[in-house]
Amino acid sequence: MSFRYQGKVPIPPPNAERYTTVCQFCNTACGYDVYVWPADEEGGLQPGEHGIVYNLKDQVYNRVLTPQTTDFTKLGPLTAYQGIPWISEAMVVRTVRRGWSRGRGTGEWREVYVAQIPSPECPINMGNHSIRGGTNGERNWSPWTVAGARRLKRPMVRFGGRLEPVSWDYAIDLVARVVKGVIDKWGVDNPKWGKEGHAVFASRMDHGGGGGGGMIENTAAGLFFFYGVRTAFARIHNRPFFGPEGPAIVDAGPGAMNNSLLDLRLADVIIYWGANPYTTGTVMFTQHALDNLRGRTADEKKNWFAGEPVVDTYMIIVDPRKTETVQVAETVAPDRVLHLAPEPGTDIVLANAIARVIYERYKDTVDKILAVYRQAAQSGFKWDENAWQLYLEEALEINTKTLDQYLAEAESITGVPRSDIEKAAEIIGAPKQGGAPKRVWLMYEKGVIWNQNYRSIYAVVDLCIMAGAVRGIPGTGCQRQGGHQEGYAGPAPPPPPWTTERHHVSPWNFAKEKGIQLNTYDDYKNLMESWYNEVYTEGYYKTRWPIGDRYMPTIDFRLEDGEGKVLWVHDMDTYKLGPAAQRLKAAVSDRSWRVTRYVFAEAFAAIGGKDSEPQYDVNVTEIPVITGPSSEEYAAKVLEALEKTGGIFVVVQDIYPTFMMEDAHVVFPAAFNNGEVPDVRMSVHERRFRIADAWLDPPGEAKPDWWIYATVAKRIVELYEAEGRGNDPVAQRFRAAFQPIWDAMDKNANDPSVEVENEIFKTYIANADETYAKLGVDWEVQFWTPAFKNLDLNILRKFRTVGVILPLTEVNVNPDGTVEARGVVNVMEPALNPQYREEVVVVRPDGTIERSIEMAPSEKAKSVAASTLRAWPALWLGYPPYVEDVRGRYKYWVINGRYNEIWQSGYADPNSEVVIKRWPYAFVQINPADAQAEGLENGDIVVVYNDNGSVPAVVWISDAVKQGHIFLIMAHPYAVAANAVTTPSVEPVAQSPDYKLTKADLLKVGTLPSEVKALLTFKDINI
Amino acid sequence: MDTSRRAVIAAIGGLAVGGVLGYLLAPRGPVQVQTVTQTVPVTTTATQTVTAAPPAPAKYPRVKIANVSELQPKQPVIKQYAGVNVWLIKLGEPAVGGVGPDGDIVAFTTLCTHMGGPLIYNSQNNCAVCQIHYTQFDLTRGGMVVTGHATEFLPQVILEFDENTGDIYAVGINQLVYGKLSNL
Repeated sequence: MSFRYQGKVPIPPPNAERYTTVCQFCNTACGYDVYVWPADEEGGLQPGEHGIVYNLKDQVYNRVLTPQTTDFTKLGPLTAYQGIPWISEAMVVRTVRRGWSRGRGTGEWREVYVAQIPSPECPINMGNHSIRGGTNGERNWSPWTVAGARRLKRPMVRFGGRLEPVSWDYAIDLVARVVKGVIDKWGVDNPKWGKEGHAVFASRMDHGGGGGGGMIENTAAGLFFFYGVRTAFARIHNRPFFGPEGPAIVDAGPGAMNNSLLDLRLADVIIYWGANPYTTGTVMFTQHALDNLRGRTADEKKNWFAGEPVVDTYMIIVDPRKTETVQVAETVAPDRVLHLAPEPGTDIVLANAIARVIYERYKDTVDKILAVYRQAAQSGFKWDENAWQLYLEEALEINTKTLDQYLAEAESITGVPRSDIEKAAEIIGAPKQGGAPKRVWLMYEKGVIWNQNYRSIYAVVDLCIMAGAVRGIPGTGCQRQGGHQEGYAGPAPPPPPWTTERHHVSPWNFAKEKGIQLNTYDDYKNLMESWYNEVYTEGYYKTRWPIGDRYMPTIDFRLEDGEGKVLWVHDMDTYKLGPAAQRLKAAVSDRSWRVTRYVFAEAFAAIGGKDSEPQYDVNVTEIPVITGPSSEEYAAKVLEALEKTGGIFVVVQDIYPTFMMEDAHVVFPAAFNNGEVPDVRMSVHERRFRIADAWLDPPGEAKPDWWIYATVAKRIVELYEAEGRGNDPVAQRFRAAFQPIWDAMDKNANDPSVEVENEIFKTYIANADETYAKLGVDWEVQFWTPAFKNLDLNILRKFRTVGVILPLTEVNVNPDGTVEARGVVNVMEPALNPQYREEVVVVRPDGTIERSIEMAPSEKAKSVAASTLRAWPALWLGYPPYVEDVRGRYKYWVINGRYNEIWQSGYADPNSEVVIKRWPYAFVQINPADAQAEGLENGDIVVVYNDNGSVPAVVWISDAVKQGHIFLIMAHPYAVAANAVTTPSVEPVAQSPDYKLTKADLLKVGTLPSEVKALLTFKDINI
Repeated sequence: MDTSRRAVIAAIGGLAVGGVLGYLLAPRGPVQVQTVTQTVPVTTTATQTVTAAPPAPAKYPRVKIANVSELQPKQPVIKQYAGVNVWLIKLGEPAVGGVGPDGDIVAFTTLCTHMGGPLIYNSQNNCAVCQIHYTQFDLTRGGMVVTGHATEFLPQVILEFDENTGDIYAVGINQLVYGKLSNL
């Protein structure tokens, strides 16, 4: 609501506009129905009196919803599942919007209600939601809410000390001139492409959801930076380079997203490793995992198990903290949950230890599972027997250490009791009655990804191979949980000027580059030794230089080192989410202000100079007019400054103010791709692909990101043409990349019902193969298959929140209006089994959506199935050097992560009352014994500090953290939090930061006033 | 603004004036609109105040729900107010919205504001926890969500305490209650 606590919500009337979208927040990607209607209309409670209409036949979960079922007179506990959702005050907002009668953005402004309701139709949430998603509604902008007040609405440029609103023309011209000038002056010549703008550093997201991203937005950013500008120097919000986040599982074969929520529901053993899904992938856990753990999926299991016994489900959770996930699981199933709490960084050892026990004690199980891989190898599947042997010998040390020795060592390094390691192995490895191996489903996330990424993920995946979690059969899976949804699309980033190819330094790429043949077991062994030696022992651990940087350059170190001339920050706040963020801020801020001081040197010099002498001329009657520089003058001065001062020009493109705005020269206000610009993205847990539609006008003068990039690109081309250099290769690149978008913008200007985003989708996403072939570059559209060519946004709209599963095997649009989509449920299944589950979604002309799963012959999915399974020995080498720096000198391991209500950087959290009232400050969890020793109480204020920085936080005493550990929130709307103290340590193969591995001390600096404490809760989580 | 009347200004020539003014400021619910046409033969302006009669906005009743003597510390009692079940609890520690001599008597609705699941009161920490998805509400802090997935704090009954008699009155509920689209 515009103002909460009304005790009433309005119901959409029957003629309310209806849109569908996916949540802007976590990777679970719950579906939401959105209703927009004039604020003076209202619906009634009974079917037909209101506009909330569902039409679903879901055979997979046995659910039928019809327009008749949504009868609000029958609203009661849990009726959302039956199509009668309760609408809380947080789901509705009163705002303004244009009439849109001639298309989006047309017509007069009027007051409307917007309701964003968790969809009972969506198979992911079925009407359930988290506290984040459920408050989506009130985070829509409105002139009467915090959400609206905070939005960036006008382009701004820094004049002297301050950002001032300017016209779009000014801002675009300034940025275009600077970018062009930087390419002209410092571009690196490439005989094929012309000057490459490597001095333009791009900090741009790559994901979907999370307040940014989706295939359309990613495409526009990619076309600009990777094709137009052609820079290799780019960064993603959570890692300082542009490249894959967890390549080990891609190298191993399954890929990072490979199974489905159905598999979670059917698993015998569920393992969460370095993941806290209650707070970060909520509905996946609270709905599907708990349904399984509670025994509610027993019938579904019987349906899919083909006679194999259904057993009580077990859950294993690996996390140094006793998290909400652990507590809830232990409450639901006290005898069937095992919590392992290893010391930070030791997951490699723990995973290997569990695997070793399984290998020794459950040989029959292991043999049965290996037989599946070997059998598939006979028909072309690439099961790597040598790699498997290498793993057994080198990682599990089956012939060099006894099991006792191995376990003793593992216990000593990880802190996990040997009996727990054995218990975990038993849960996973002990066969069911009749001898069938358990169906094991494992999900890992940041606890593994941000902790010696390549080796930790590989160790966990190796365990999954041993446990058969990658067999593909219903109830199995091994993948990441994900933070955001996914929706990457765009041209491939160019390599840095000193090399010809971008890649991470996996053993396999290393072998290829060195020309190492891999035929015999000894070849593998030699590869392993030389790879570990060059990448780690003589490499990162000695020099602190990650070899991955050679092929996918890191930008943070370079920014601090004076490199780069433009830093364009799109949809992220590196001063909050980058490792050692305060060090980065110090460097970038200094360089940015060198430019500002140079550009405005005369103005600054005048302060205190002649112009500030006292003046009192009685004859002066005219108002003095002060003109700032034109965009052309400004840009010219910026280019001089960039040459002379070592400074950097900073552009921030975002929806809310960020910390980086303090140093920005230009701020572009963006329209939000949650409700203001349509985009497409998929859930991480089942690759369910849907449209996130647009139902609001953006506030003020905010523009879609594609518009910003396309308009700057156009201006750059005009500038080349004005110089008579219209055929310069750089101009040609921008023209080639953006001409289709410019054409669509022209069409839309003449006919607002032509949707530019749909044209972008059709050109660069559905027909990516043809378009990028014309552009002459490699490209990626996640899980693209030729079936994409039959999609466009309007067809996706028909699928509402049910969507389609990627990879698509078929999309059929029939003349009578029926649309059918088929996709692969588990991408390991067709690789290793004769048949695979294919999800079929049919939309009838009357809007009924029918969902079912059919078995299809595996040949049909051959081109999209996994094709490889390849283990690799992950070895523990002690802590990486930057971590060792702090380890001995600071007291507490700073476990960091999310606090349930706060999402990522907290960009949208001040908009929601339940969220920001709960966490008005950054909190730090401290163990009771540690608190006592430090003399701390709830509500005290401490500074958490180490060499890299310091941050204040409010004390929350909790036994969720062990002694010697604290849990500091990763980021907060108003504070940098954990990244004040994270180290620059990265994993050398692919450079994901070791965010999870840092230590710090605490210093009490005060306590909250009692009136404030009286409004905050310090209750320990106790369910 | 006194919404029980409408001030209507009439001028020469019989100007019809409708009641669109101020619908933003009006109470929720249907607004009575009166169109008054008046033709005045003389060239003067007359202001006529017409007392309209819009329906009285629904108000929370003031109901005595208990006397303080009934309450034992940390022993919730179920009462009915405004058509819903509420817990009345003497928490034993001062609370946001607490009344009574110790400022610790509170009342809350009993259905979780996530999806309507049943809550269980934990006397050890004065919290209520839902048994379906485990949202935990701190009853000493206005039903604040300690962790969990409710999008509203647990709706709290606004109480008044009569010091002389020890009677506890319920006079309102501060948010929309689960299962309702309008509390009244």
